[in-house]
Amino acid sequence: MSEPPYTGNATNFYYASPTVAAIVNLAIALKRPLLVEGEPGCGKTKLAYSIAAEKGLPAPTKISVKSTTRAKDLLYTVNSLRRLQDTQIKDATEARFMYPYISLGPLGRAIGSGQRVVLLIDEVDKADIDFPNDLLDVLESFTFQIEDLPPEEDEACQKRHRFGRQVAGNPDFPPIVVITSNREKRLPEAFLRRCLYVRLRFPETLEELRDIVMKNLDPGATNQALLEEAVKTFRKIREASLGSTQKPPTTSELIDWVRILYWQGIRPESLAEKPYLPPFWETLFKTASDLDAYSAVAQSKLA
Amino acid sequence: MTPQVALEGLFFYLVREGFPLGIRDLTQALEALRGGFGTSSRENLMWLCQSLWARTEEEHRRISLLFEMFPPPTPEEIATLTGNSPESSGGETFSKPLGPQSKDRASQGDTTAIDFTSAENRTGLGIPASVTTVPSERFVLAPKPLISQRACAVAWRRFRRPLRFGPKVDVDIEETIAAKAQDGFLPEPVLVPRRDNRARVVLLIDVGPSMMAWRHSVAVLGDSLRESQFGTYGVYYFHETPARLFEKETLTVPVSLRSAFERFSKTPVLVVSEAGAARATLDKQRIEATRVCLGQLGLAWRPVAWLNPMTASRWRGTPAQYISCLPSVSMFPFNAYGLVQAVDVMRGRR
Repeated sequence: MSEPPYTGNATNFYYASPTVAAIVNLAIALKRPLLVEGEPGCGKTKLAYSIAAEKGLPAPTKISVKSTTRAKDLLYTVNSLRRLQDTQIKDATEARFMYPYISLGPLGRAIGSGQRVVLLIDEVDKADIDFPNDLLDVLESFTFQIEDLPPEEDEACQKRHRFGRQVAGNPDFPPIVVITSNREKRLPEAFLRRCLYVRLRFPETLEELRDIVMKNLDPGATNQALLEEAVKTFRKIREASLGSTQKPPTTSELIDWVRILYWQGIRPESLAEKPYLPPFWETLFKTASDLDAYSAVAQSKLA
Repeated sequence: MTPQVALEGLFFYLVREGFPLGIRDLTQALEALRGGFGTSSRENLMWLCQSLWARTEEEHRRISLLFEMFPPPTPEEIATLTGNSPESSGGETFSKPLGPQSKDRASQGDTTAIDFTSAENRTGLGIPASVTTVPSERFVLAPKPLISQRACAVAWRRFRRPLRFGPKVDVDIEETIAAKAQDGFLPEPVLVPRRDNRARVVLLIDVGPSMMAWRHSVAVLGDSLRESQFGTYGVYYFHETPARLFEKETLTVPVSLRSAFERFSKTPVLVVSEAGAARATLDKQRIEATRVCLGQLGLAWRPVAWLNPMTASRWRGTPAQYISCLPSVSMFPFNAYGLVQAVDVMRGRR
């Protein structure tokens, strides 16, 4: 395959550090799922979108995991209720068969399409502990069986839906699987071993932070001087809030804050006047206890 | 030395060190090498090993430590190994083969080994000579809890009490069919609330100084409760006997038994304490105090299961032996199987 490698910086909405981009390339080359962890709001989900955009693929197939999600539901679903209702119609023969009531789920469709897609399994840790383990085999071989479909209906199903009992992906272009986790629950060891792991860290340099904000704002939504000052002030606030707050502000809060500053016509100089409590600093925190905790820290720093 | 040989050496070294790696991990790493990953420099190779084989910070650290331990060979060393003159090509050297050769290095005592020389010369305090032999194995400083997160999850899974609770969202197939059979038509399916885990448990943790050694293991158990989707659970801390309970590990916020009982009435309780086995003395007062206090707890919290982090063979002749014989309590060693047994007791099976 002579695809150009993922650079992490070619899209106009995302910036991934070279280390992250290298691991993404490694995952694609080895056809292994990529497990992304990091603080909420650091761009885990957007990473999948940027891979799709850089590779010229359609937007990722997103699977939002809920606590009740089962692995089978992602592959296929059986509409038993409709079948039950159909049994009441006189002279209707459809309900004797299973295949009219089977449809592929998001993961099943992505595999069955045979085309290269980016598959985003969002917040995998929310589901039951069995969920990741059940997915292991499918994510490795990109084939699965519809066990609810009787073998004798295989052909009829193939005719109607263009998939049979055995759904197999294209081995040359397997889906690029990106799995995100918030670390609410620890994932099973076997699952971790199969995935390539990348931890998105908070951007370390001011330049990276500035680039990220620039990429996320519409052109003309800020001015350079305000942005520079805002990023500098934000760094100070974040450092001061680490340890004392439950959720320190991350990039997504910074982007919103810069937007607000620009809309409200705040001058860059006024940010430097009160370095720890600049205008609208409250928007950077999400809970009452974090607001209180940070304001106490800031007061002590200013005093 | 090619990166491929270095990678193979590293792999087998890591496997010997107890990394949970399989042949698949090696073949995939070699495939990545062939794909051009990790070939540009030593750091690059380390990066490849870490991203493919390490899943925790500790594993990351151990791999980079390994790269530090085995620096790239000097041109002279290459010359003696290969019998050729030092290579003048600009190609990056990766590492010496790891394995039998590396043993000599370790025994020579490099910078990371602990310096025992002053003790060997007996210039320091009078330590018995048998203690001062240089350990041949490197210390593994990664915490090894008595019980793994996974084992906890498996045990708690036996403790589910699924009850239908909340909004009606699930289809009750049997009732739906019954309704259809009765009326002859089906306007809408019969819905029932979703099943939810309503199991409750109270965890009492001894945080006395004698429990220090197992703090990490106990924390794993405490964390597993949070992750196991219990209906409600309470964690209280105590010192020696659970007569006085505290909300915090630091034993700072006391909780009255009455309020704890009101919050969790008729709830199974799991006690984690060494029950005097760590000190290996027969503390009669402690036995009596524990007996009285278990009687008190048993009024509201039943059944009582007890996990003891001390090995069962060390309970003899200590309060642990006597407490484990009390009819109101079932004591098990603190490990994966012990927790499963404790869960069975808490479910009402003995």
